[in-house]
Amino acid sequence: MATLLHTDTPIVVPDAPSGPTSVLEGFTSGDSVGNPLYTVIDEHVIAAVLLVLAPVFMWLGAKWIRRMAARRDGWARSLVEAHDGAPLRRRVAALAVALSSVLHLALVFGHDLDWYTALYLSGAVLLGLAAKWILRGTRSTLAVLTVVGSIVAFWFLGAPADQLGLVTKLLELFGLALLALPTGDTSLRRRLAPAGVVSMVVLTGVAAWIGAFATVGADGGHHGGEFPDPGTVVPYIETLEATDAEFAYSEDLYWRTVAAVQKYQDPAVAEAAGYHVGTIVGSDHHAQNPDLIGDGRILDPEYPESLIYGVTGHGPRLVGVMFEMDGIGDAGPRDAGPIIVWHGHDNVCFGFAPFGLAGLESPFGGCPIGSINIPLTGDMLHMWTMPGVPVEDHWGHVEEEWLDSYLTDDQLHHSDHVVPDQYMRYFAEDAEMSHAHEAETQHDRAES
Amino acid sequence: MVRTPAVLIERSSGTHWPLMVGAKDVLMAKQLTSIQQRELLNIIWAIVLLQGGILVLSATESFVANLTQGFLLIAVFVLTALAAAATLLAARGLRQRKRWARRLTMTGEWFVLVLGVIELVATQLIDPAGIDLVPLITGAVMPITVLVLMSRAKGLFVSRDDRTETVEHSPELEAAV
Repeated sequence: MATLLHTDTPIVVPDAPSGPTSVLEGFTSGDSVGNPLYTVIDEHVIAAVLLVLAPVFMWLGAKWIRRMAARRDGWARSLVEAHDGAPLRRRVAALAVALSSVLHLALVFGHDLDWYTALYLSGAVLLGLAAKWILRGTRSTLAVLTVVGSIVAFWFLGAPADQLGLVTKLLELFGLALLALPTGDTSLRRRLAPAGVVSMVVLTGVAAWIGAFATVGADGGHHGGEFPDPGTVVPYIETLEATDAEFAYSEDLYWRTVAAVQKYQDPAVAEAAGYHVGTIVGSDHHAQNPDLIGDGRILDPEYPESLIYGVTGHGPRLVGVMFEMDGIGDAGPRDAGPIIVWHGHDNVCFGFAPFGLAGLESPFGGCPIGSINIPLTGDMLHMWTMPGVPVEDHWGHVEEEWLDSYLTDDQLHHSDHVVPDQYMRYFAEDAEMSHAHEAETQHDRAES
Repeated sequence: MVRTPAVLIERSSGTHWPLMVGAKDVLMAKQLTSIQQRELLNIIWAIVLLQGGILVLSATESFVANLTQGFLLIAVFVLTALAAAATLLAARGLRQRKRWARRLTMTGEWFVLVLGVIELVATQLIDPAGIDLVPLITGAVMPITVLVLMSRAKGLFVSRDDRTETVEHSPELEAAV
């Protein structure tokens, strides 16, 4: 039996938490799962390796084709002649589209046989043809339409977008930009072509966002499973049935914390204790205590790293707390199995003017100007302390509707906790400690 | 020393072919270089246009993030929108071979490269799970490519007065003329 340190009344930690597994393929116990937007998913690894080795393959391929052409091989000679006769921009555009075609072909081998495999195969063939047309300078309109078609197909069928999928679109957009090059032709179509390319870039990014969010908790697009929101990392969990020991542990910890933080209903008390409350806005205003970050106390009911306040018609109200691990990348303890699930954040953009969250890393990489990318945070855990919050929402995620109704309903937010008998002692202990502290303060004042 | 505008020779060559005779190698070499540089400029233009598009996307994302946070980080949005506008303006200027566009592009690319490399290194230190492909391309490969190509196409960015290229008279050219 393990015990949680730093508490006056030790809390018993279960010996054998239920095993972490998941419905997601390719993940094993102990892994953390993020949104595919910032990763290369398992089915795309072959294509990603191919992409990294592409310069070598292209160099070897070019040498081989030249050798074949020297031997008067028909198709090789024709290809070399087309290449040598084409201007550089067409050669580069053809190369970018051809590389995307090869990556599509590699995706065929990474996936199980279904209609998506057919889609990748047709994409590979059509993009290959488009590359040939671009190089030869024939069927230009058809070539452009093929590349545009591949990008548009990604908007509707590419979810969830991962890094490899985005690279293929980046290659195609680059090819498209080269084909959209303004020339002496001053027709409206030519003049609008650059604006069209910029629009395609923006729409592809928006589609990637929509795909990334759509895969959360849904059927996960064509890769199955459920992923967290972009920018969130969660441990890999399969068993959703907690053991009795896990439940008892989590409830013990919950009520001990609720008792300990009652004193912070008044934000002034929290401010005096070192929490940076500031101006409370919204329904989940986090007030962190920097002194508690990295202090070695993990999941300590007496010292939650942040307090969470919500605004009501009668002023601010403490709605919960947030525990944080000490260091970047530190995983939270998983002693309560599926009940207490910590989460981290990845690829969040942190702004400097003023300091604060500026969003998430863009699908095409990079944060807005004036902010930097934080690739990974330490794990953190929300706990909701409002009276009447459903047991299943004590830890982790609370339904937004429930939180909003709590903050707006006078009766609800003036209600008291209904504390199970076995946990009343924590409130008694806390009251005793508060009384002792108050008496001590009064004694000090009297003396002074 | 007498200088003859090469562009005059180039334009005249169709009707006054003897101008090219004898000096063919010198002039052809010059012309090819110029053509190659213009082709390189096309590649640069396409990359800078893509970067402009990515910044427009980033500005849009920043605007949406500001909407949800009561425009607390409006400065970040404004900076990103300005960077997007400057990049697209630079792309347009590059097509017209403006020197300010070259300077603006070079400055922007160095900025993107330094920031990109810092972020990539920091990412490796914080989370050594591997480098993401897209940030590697947009934060390092694209700016490096533009900087390298820009140095090779430097000759195209001359002041308006010097826009017509000049070649020194060579004995072959004089003989040909």
